[in-house]
Amino acid sequence: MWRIWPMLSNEFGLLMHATIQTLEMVFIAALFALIFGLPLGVFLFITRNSHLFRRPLMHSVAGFVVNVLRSIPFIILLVAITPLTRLIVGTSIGTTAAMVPLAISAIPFFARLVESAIAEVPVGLVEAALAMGASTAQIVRKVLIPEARSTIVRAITLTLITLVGYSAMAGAIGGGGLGNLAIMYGYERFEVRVMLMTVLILIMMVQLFQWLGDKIAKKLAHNI
Amino acid sequence: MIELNNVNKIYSGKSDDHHALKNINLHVKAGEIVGVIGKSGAGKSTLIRCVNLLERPTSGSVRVNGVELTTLNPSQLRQARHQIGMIFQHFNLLATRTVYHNVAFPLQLLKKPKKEIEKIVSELLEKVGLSNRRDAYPNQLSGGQKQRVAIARALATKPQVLLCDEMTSALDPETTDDILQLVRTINRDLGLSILCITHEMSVIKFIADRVAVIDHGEIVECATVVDIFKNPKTNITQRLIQSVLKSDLPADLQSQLRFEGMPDDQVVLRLTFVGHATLEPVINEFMRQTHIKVNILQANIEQLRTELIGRMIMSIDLQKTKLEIVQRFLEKKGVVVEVMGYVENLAYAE
Repeated sequence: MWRIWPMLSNEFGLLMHATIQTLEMVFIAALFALIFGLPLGVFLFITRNSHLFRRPLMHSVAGFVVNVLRSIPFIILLVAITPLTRLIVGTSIGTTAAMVPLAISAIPFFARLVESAIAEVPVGLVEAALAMGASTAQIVRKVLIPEARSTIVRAITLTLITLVGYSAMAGAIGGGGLGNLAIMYGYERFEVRVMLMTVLILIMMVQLFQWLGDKIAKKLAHNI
Repeated sequence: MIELNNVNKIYSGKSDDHHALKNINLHVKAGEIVGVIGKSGAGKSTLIRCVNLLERPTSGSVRVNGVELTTLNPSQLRQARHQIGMIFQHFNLLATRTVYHNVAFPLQLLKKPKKEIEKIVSELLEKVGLSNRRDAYPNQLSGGQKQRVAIARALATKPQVLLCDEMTSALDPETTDDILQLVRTINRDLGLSILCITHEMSVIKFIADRVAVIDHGEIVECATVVDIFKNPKTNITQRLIQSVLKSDLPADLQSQLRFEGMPDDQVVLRLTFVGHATLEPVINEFMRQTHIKVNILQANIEQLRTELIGRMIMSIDLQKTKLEIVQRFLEKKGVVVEVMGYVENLAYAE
């Protein structure tokens, strides 16, 4: 399977290539999580808030779907949705194929984080905005999301880091990236050095995400 | 300007219903400041939230600026709310916006042009004395400054009505005075009708024209502030007034107090002076004319918004005079006389 990689035969080339693949998978899946998870998280919140858009039935349905997706172990999801993956991206192997299950598991995860982030916005702010005549859409755009933005950035950080871990798992069944490299070289061929290098890169990646996320979140927070 | 008629609010619970507001009738006329006072849990918070329909009354009519709010559709209600300013105990400023953008917020909701917003916000910050903090974030401000920002924000859409929900309860006494002074100035300059709820009589006494006392969801007394201080009808009102106008007896005297008088007892009277009577030497005159000695046990004087009010407790030896004579003399001078009880042989008497 590793033969489908480009002609980079030296170790450094392999590591570079795998790193880029991992970043690609993680960021594209995270992008989808942001695009779909943010509105879903907002939806989960406003459908249970009597001041905004209380719809208990819609909330229960959305909540149930989110819970179901979140309770399936990623490794199972990866295999189970193969037909869907093939339908969406036309293939069931490679990094592109891995992005589909990664995104699908990241969306509900991120949505719940968003929901809890905006639930932390003091209820008084929503009341004040209502008293000023704001609509639900205005409250979401001008109050809830801006006031929760620092916590949302932390949620993105957490999602990215979780995705790094999941992408390694995706690698195990042909998704490419650092996880794949570690398994192919370290586990199957006992090339401990390559395996250690991949682990080192993963550690650095996670550290970097966390550091950057904390920095941005801190800059955005004005309520401390 | 604000008219609440027969407003009821009932929270349905699993086992029983909670009647939070019972038949509330309350009117705030144009340019008037009306205070609603009550203990926590009396329903005052629910009451003020019913005025802009943050809480929807179970029944009754809510008219603000001549518009019946309970029958409006959501978009009409939002329009009406632009004309009702509100300030809160915990200020409720947006933490991620600067002072300037907090005040601009209601105008942005109305999609006003940037230039107009700039002009209005600058004026308002000038009015509340925060022009130099326009780029500060709320966490960089003191409590009093935050409330000033909130007041400026509430005034941005030029409302005719201002609702104040425990606006000074999170502030220290000195800052409280500043904020109350500011609200009074706004009321005078802009002719705003203001409804404030509070649990502090000191707030009422400082800014209100009229006051409604609320207890267990009912308005038990509603009158001008002077009348309420002069002649509180219910126990709850008396207790609330005590908090600013101390008029109870020292504890050892209180324990000796009897409600039935013996012939050689001293009578304990509570006098309330209002307006001009507070400034005249009434007691001095009384002693000179009647040659009766009085023992002053407690006295103080308070400034209400429009008038002075004084309280005095004194005892008089009834052997030398008749109670009726004393009462008639004092009442002629405009003093309210109340018999608190009788004590024998006061330790304070000579």
